[in-house]
Amino acid sequence: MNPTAIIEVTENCNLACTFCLRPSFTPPVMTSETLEKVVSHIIESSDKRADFIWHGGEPLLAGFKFFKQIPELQEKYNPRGIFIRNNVQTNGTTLRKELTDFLEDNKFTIGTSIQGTREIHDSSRLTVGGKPTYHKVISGISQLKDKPSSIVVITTETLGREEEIYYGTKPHVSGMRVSEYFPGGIIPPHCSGATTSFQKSSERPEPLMPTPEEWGESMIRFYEVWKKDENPIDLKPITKIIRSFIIGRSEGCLYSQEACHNAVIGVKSNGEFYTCIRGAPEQKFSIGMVDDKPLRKYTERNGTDKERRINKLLEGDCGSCQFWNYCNGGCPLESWKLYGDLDHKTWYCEGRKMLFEHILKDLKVK
Amino acid sequence: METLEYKPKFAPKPMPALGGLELDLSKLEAVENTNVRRVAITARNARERLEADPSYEIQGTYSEAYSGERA
Repeated sequence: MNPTAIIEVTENCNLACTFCLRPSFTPPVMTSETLEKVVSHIIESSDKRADFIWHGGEPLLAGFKFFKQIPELQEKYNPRGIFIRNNVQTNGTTLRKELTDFLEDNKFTIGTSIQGTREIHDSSRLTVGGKPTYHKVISGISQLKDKPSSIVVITTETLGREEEIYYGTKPHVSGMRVSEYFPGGIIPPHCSGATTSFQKSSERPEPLMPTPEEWGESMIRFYEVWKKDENPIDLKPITKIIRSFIIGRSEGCLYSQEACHNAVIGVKSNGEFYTCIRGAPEQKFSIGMVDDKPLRKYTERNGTDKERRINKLLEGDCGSCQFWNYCNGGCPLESWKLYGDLDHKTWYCEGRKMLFEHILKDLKVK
Repeated sequence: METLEYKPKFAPKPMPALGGLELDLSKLEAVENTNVRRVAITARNARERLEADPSYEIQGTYSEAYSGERA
């Protein structure tokens, strides 16, 4: 396998975002001993490439000393010389010059989260104490030599504001990903009732979660804004969807079962491996502790889930959908969060179809 | 001229390979929007390289849910 390992350095976070998919503020940080075992096991299990995504919580709360170990360990345990990439997914508020220099000198790419404009960001990405963070994020990422990529999460609060989000984010980043809201988050008490006028209903499982149609319309607006930009940034997943239509297969774990099941794994700070970090801490998705060398049995275990899910989806609507190859039914963990099983297609199905059809029209030339 | 035909894949293995949406890949230069055209033509080049060398790995194939930058 060629894993993409999403490593939860710590569950601890200094922010309490309204749409956080797994809000948790428990302090433990991965120990040096566990880090060494995790790095070693991932590299020894990789055929020719390993992607390390250092995640959290807020991973940079682990401190400079933690990150300084990573390149040394990757060199120590890589006698075969496989290709290794590192990415840090940070909220940007704790970036400091010494650390940013180190990360960039060691070719770590940086991903951060900017919720578009100051106003939108500061109503949703707050400190644990409820303070705004936009200025800290912009100040933090301004220390980087290369602009980071960023993620914006589509919620009910971003609908209709796509143009200001795109152009509000663009000056600060090299590219941006418009991410689907993932269910299961808990709006922190200090944000409750203050961030959204939407209510949970039969059509909306959570107040911040767009309906499929709202999501589709929002994505189409993002697409149209991007189309008109004379100097566009890479806007994912829009550009990836165009690519998938041409190449004939989808990219990324939200649109590709191949990537989801064969590559992406999650690791918690205690060294427990999961089929995906979105599944933690559910034991159903645990594949074992690092000492048990869990990746040795990963493909076999996950292959079973993959076949069952794909068969189930293809027995339903997905079997006759012209976009199956480009959608693959979406995230299995989203199905788990909403329905308690892995057998449902994505919540955003109708929205994805709207977006796919809209993009496809532009690619069909007579 | 290449026209891709959609064929539903019901078998769980192998994973769905190159499929299609009845797109004429020889006409991408005529796509009206500049940004869409640029991405599409770059993707066609990647596809041609993949067809010539199946071991070629298209960048950005894997995780996208968490990582801001994979491509």
